[in-house]
Amino acid sequence: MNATTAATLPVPPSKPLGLLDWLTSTNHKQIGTLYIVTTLGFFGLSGLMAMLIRADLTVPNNPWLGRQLYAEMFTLHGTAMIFLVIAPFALGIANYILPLQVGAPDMAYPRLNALSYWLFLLGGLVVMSGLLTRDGAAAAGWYAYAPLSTTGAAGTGQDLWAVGLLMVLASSTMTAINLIATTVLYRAPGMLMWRLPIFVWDMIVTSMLILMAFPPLAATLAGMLIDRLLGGHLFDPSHGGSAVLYQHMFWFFGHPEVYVMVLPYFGIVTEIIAVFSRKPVFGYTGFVLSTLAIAGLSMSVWAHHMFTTGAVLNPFFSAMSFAIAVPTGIKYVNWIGTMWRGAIIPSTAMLFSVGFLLNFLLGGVTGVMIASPPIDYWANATYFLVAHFHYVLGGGSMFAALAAVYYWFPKITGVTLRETWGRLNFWLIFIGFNATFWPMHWLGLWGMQRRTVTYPDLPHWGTLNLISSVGAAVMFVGVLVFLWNLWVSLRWRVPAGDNPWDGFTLEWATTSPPPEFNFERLPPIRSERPVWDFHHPATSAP
Amino acid sequence: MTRTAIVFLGAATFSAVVGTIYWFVSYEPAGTFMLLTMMTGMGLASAYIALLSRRASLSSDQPAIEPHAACGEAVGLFASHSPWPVVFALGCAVGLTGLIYGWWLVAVGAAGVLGAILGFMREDRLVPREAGAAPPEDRSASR
Repeated sequence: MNATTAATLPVPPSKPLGLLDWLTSTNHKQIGTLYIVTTLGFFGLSGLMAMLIRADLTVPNNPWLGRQLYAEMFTLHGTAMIFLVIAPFALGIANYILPLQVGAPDMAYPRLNALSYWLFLLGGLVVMSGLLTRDGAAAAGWYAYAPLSTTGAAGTGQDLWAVGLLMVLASSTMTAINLIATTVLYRAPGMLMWRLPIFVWDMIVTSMLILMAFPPLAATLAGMLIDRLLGGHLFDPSHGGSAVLYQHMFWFFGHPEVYVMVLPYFGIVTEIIAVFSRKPVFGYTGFVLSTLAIAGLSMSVWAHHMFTTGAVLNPFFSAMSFAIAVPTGIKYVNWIGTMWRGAIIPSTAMLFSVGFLLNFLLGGVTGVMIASPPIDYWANATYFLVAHFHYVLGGGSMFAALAAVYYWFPKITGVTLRETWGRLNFWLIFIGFNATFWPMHWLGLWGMQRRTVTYPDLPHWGTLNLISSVGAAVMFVGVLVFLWNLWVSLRWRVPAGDNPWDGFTLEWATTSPPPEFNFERLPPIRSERPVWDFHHPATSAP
Repeated sequence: MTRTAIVFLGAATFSAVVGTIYWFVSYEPAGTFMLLTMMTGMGLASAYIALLSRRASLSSDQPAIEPHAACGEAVGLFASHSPWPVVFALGCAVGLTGLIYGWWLVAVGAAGVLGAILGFMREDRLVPREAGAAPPEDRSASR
């Protein structure tokens, strides 16, 4: 690269080694790696809980797990996937990749970044420590409605759940501030806001959502602890409190949280689809504006989770929820337009991205269905809802997360994951996922309620549940193949080189893995594809 | 006004409009209050960023700049290692679980948090004030 950016990089005189290095590091790449590994650990734990749930439901009239343990499993499974896996995995990827993509030497506030990670890890462990208490873990579901969660019916595990999540919320809020500050203040020369990679834009908007939506949940959890530990009655209707207030405050967080778990993955698949289609993102500006529109609308649809309470203005929230389909539809135009007449390379990362498009579309369509109150009255609290949100968050975000791992693994480790194992990994998870969750649509429409430890032997219920459990087992094998691929690729290393995918964005302009300050030199930045522009001047931006 | 400030201002305006409409169609106080609080937060962030951008001129906002033109520009100081984040987080974990298991744990946790804050302050005092001098345990970067 002819244009250089020199950096003075004094080497610290006494850098800690080994475990002490990881415990005290404030480098964004190490912290990002810690986030990713930790979320994979929580994913394993949460996945095992899901397998227990599916084992319990394989055949009718078989409550072998027991009501209490079953309730603990679905509560912790949901809590872990939402608070400890899907959202923080994206924050981990952003920790590693975002400073590289904007051309920064590190995150804006490295010590705050380290504090965010440790609060996240310890908060997650506090939530899970409920399993070790005498009266068991939290068992009131992931949204822990009052007064079920605020009365004596829930044990110490519920207290630990609230305390742990408060720490996780604080962690996410600090990370959001850090990501925004890094992007605003530490962009490389020439990296205008309208030249930012789409992933960075999506992380900015996600961070804004975190700043807007997480404080109400923190207040809700504080209120829950006041009710539980200090004798308060904030959410207790029998003493003048309001259980509906709890729901308002929870869902004011809860629906934007869906987009906190989805928008980063929109960004990830957009990057991957563009690189493996050999084309710039189709409709860059429209994509960014539609992301902002989704974020705004997502803040004003919270009470569609409360249609059946009869205490909210259903037409308002229904209309706003329908409206959110418009900017989401624009994104599909962007993605299809990017692939259209592109030189598509069917890598594993691209396969997972296309899998994301298919699954998320199904989750989105059922989302529009239940935005209609008459349908929601029918489907609420049934397996139809379970199918819907698993298609959005499992078939959507999880597929994009795996795409991210296959795409950025070479940058983080310096070696590529094996493509053959990757394709097997994709097909097992894709088939397993759809076998698990597609039957739940029918089960829900036929009246099977969620969160029940067993079910009667009604026509087709046993067969569909059996298919669902077999699908979960296939997915489990797919996860084992993924772990095997990680092991094989790290054990027998095939060097990836600095830019194995002929990528577009600045992380591909540095070594794999990058040096301490990320860049020895930078290319000129004239578009959102500076590395592509540099290597392919004939097709570059003017 | 920078584009970042405009994005935050857009969020504030959106929540003001939706909050107002929501109040007049529902008269529901909780959601209205949260929307208007959101408006305030986003408005403050927008104003702060706009104020900062009047005082700062970033090379990243120059569309035709060559990277070498920013050579030598100070980027910032970045802590290399610090034991205090993990101490602070442990203090929080111990202190908060003390709400459940006993107030003495809250005192232990608070001591950890206070110790970490003092540690952070001590680290900050090690950063030299004069330009160009690299502190012993931090990493300074310039372009």
